[in-house]
Amino acid sequence: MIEPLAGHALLLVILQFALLLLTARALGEVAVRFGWPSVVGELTAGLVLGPSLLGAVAPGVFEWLFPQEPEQFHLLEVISWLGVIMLLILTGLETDVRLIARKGKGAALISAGGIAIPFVTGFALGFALPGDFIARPDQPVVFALFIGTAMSISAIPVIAKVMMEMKVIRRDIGQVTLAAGMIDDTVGWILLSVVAGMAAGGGASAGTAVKSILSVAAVLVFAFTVGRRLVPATIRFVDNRVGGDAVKITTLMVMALAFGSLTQALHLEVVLGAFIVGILVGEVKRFDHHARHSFEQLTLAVFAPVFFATAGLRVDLGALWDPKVFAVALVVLAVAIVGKFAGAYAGARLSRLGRWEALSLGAGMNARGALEIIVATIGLSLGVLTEEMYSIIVVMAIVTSLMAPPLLRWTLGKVEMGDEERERLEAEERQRNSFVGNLKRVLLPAAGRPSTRLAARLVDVLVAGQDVEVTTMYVRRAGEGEGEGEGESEADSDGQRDGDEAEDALTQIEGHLDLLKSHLRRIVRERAEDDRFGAVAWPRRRRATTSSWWARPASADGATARCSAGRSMTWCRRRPARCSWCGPPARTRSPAMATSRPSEPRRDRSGGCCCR
Amino acid sequence: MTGGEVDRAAAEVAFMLASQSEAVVDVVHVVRGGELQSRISDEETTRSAMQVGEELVDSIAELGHHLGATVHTQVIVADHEEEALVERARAGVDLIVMAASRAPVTQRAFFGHHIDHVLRHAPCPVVVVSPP
Repeated sequence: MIEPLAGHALLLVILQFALLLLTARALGEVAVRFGWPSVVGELTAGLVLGPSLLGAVAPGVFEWLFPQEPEQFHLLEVISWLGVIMLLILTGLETDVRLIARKGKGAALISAGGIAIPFVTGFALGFALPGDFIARPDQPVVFALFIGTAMSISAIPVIAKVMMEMKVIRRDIGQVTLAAGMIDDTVGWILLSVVAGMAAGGGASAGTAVKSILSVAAVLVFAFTVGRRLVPATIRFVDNRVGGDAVKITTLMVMALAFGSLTQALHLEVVLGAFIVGILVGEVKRFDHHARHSFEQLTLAVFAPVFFATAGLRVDLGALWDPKVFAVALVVLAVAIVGKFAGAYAGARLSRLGRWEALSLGAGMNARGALEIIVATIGLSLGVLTEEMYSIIVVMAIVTSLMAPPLLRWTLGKVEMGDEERERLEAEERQRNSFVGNLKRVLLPAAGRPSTRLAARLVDVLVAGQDVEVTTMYVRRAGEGEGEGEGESEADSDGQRDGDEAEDALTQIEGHLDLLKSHLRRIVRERAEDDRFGAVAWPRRRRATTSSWWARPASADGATARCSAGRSMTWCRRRPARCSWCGPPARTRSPAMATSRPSEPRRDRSGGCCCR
Repeated sequence: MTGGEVDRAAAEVAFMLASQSEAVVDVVHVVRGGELQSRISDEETTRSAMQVGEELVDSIAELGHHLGATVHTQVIVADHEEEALVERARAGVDLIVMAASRAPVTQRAFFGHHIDHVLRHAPCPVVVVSPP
């Protein structure tokens, strides 16, 4: 039997958690007061509580609070890994694929410059560094590749925060910087996964490189084919069946952890899986601003600060007093700043941006921030980085993050706005406030009257080209076809008539809907005294309803067939035709579908239908 | 049109429909005037109300132009807003889109007597956009 966690170990980890969180949040707020990114303050919390300050001033207290035993430290590390995973999900959620596509060409050039030059200079630096800074002297190529990757990363949150403050985030310069930063990050995480795969595979050989690249390619192909369909469908499903932000966040976490486990199993690091799931969920309209905000609050208030503080705990600033380490730190810092600044500036000038725009890009992209800390932590856990080199990279991240805000404020102030840009901003403002543009779900009651058909035509026009879920709904009159003492054949015929009526009314209005991007959901139910349409169509909790519903992709051709009982069925390309009145065939009925049946046995309405 | 959030939503619905079907949208604002109103306000007040109305329909029309619809604007002075609207509709309108100023509070869909009158007497279908 496994021993449960000892009382003292548990006490220590909880105390560490509390102290790190308190110090990190407090210093984070102080940093924000001074106009710096909060990550700087949060990292400083680790320096204050770690060997750099507490360890030097009161070694006894430090030893008691943070005993240097791997088992104890691993407990804290688990919490900090959760922070890393949540941060990467958040980065993914904020990665706007459409923005990258829109700004693709310019951003790609800037990004190419911003990655290639720092990567090459970093790679060269990796070879030039003295041997005692390399954790595994037998793998100098992996080390050099890792340093190159570490130099290529940019910190979107730092850039985005300054731009939001200056209200330039929606402007051309803001958009192109964000797009370039997102491309940098995406390429950076892929590069990191490849390097991690090579490190885990035993070094830089053609074999390990090819294996890592193929694994990353397979993961990406899987994510952007199967995942791209599965993720929106899952979010829509849980939102329809349960509803609320909590369940959407749970689904997001479960998917990120599951996919992260897969990428970790392939030696590509859990962060890649979390980042990809973040991107995929970020594209789902149902995972709206509110859910995103709740997730962001939880991450930024609890888990991310603890991660940064834990990362700071590992840094020993005392080591930097050694002249050799100090000299290496200065060289690394200089290479990082010059490489990224020059790369982004050159890329921006190549894509015909003005001088001040190019300087802003250089200043913004130079910030490494939180993501560099994640890279450094992974380098340490892979055994690629020594403690000294880890400290140097963390210091580099802090210094570049501190430099970015004042530099960005200065350069962005000089960037002027053109007419075209002003018009685009006004159009975006209109879209943000648009009623039609922000429709997510539309309920369309079907009663077979001319006004219903008109309503269907209106809905069709309004949702054209948008990702909107349209629910068509038919409510049968109470007591319809439920007479007492009728013979079975009559009952069957009543049931059939009701079914046909509902089917006909729904099919008729669905015929007016030519949905391209939208989804169609159908509800047929019996009216009860306390029913209201909204509560019936979108229940917040699972209710015993008589609904029989199905979803079909908008691409379904909608052709109708007849079941053996003569009822019309709508053909869907993804699923075989089935009787929508009776639901799916009994053998394949899912548990959720079964519970959506009425609690009391209904009259046999399906008599002789194909589903039997 | 009175320029509120629901008005803009209703206008957007009308413009989307019009831009898809090449219809023309008449944006109408009714200023209370005529005999009844003249007893309690002078001509100058009516004129300034009309000016405000003009600005309002222009701003709504601008939204329509951005959505690709053909828009005409009109400011009418009338005693009864609802009657003026129905009369205007009889002159050859295929659809009326209106914003309700309040959501129904009872089980009955009653949006106020203005809309009720239009719903009863309009010669064409009516779309009512109601606030949440």
